[in-house]
Amino acid sequence: MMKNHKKFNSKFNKYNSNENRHIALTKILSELGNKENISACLIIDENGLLVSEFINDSINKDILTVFSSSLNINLNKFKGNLNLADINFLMLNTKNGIIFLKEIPLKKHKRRFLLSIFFKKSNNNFEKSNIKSLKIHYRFLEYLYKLFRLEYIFKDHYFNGTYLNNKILKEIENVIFKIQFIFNQ
Amino acid sequence: MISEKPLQKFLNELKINSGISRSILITEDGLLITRDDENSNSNDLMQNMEIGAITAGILSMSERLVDLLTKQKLNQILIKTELDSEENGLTTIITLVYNNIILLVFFPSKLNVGLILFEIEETKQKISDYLKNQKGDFILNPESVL
Repeated sequence: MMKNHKKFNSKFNKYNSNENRHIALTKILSELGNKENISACLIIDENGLLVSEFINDSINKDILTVFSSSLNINLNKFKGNLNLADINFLMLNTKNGIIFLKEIPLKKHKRRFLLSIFFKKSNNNFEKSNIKSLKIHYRFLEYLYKLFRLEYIFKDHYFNGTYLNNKILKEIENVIFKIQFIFNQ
Repeated sequence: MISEKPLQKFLNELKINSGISRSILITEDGLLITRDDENSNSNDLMQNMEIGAITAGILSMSERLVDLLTKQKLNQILIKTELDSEENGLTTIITLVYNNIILLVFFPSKLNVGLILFEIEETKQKISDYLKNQKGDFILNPESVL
């Protein structure tokens, strides 16, 4: 138990020093951005103001901030009307990029921040690294089509690639945990 | 008993957490209550008093404007200056903290406003909690007035 506590402290020591939150947040976002080859990664508050940012590309951060914030506000407005439960995450998939939105609840402050990540497919590792596994899936599905005469809906789903691998999702979860730790200490 | 030290501590915490350049606590009339540690020499003191007086003017004008337009209470004023570029720009946020106490925060424009507003909200909560729980007269430095 004591060992675990020490391990936890040493792991988070770099975010828990006297340095300010601004530096710590920038460090966390740049770590994620560099590791996963992300084009832009932003933390936005409830009013659509920027809390922290990491920009790796020539992306207009103001446009991404406003877009993410307005999308999240509207989504939360209609969530009740549609009788939906809490939204886990929102992902917009286009041919050349993915916008990933996830709320960061800060229970201590009774507030929510929004994590907005922009992946550009052309320079993204996750597409390339999973191309092999996608091909295997695809071949397996093709076999299934022939075997059971299934409809093309599966094919479209995989082909258009609503695919974000578990490793990245885990990394994002990890980042959210770190951000919560910074604001709740 | 209310003393200046805890209030100064809250301002220092705000400075460490958010990377702002200066923070001052003043009354609605523009009189200085306290400021963070780093601007405590005599030159800065004079400047802080001047800032306090100017802020009082800005506040009364803004309150009149808000009253004229919406009949609601003023909560926060944001002043943004940009000298040559965003690197040299300075942003000022004037926030009503508790009754007639005002928090002034100055920071470089390159910092993210969202984070600074979050920190200000946290400091505001700390100051108002502290003042609510205290009774009696204020114990302040000779140059500070409430």
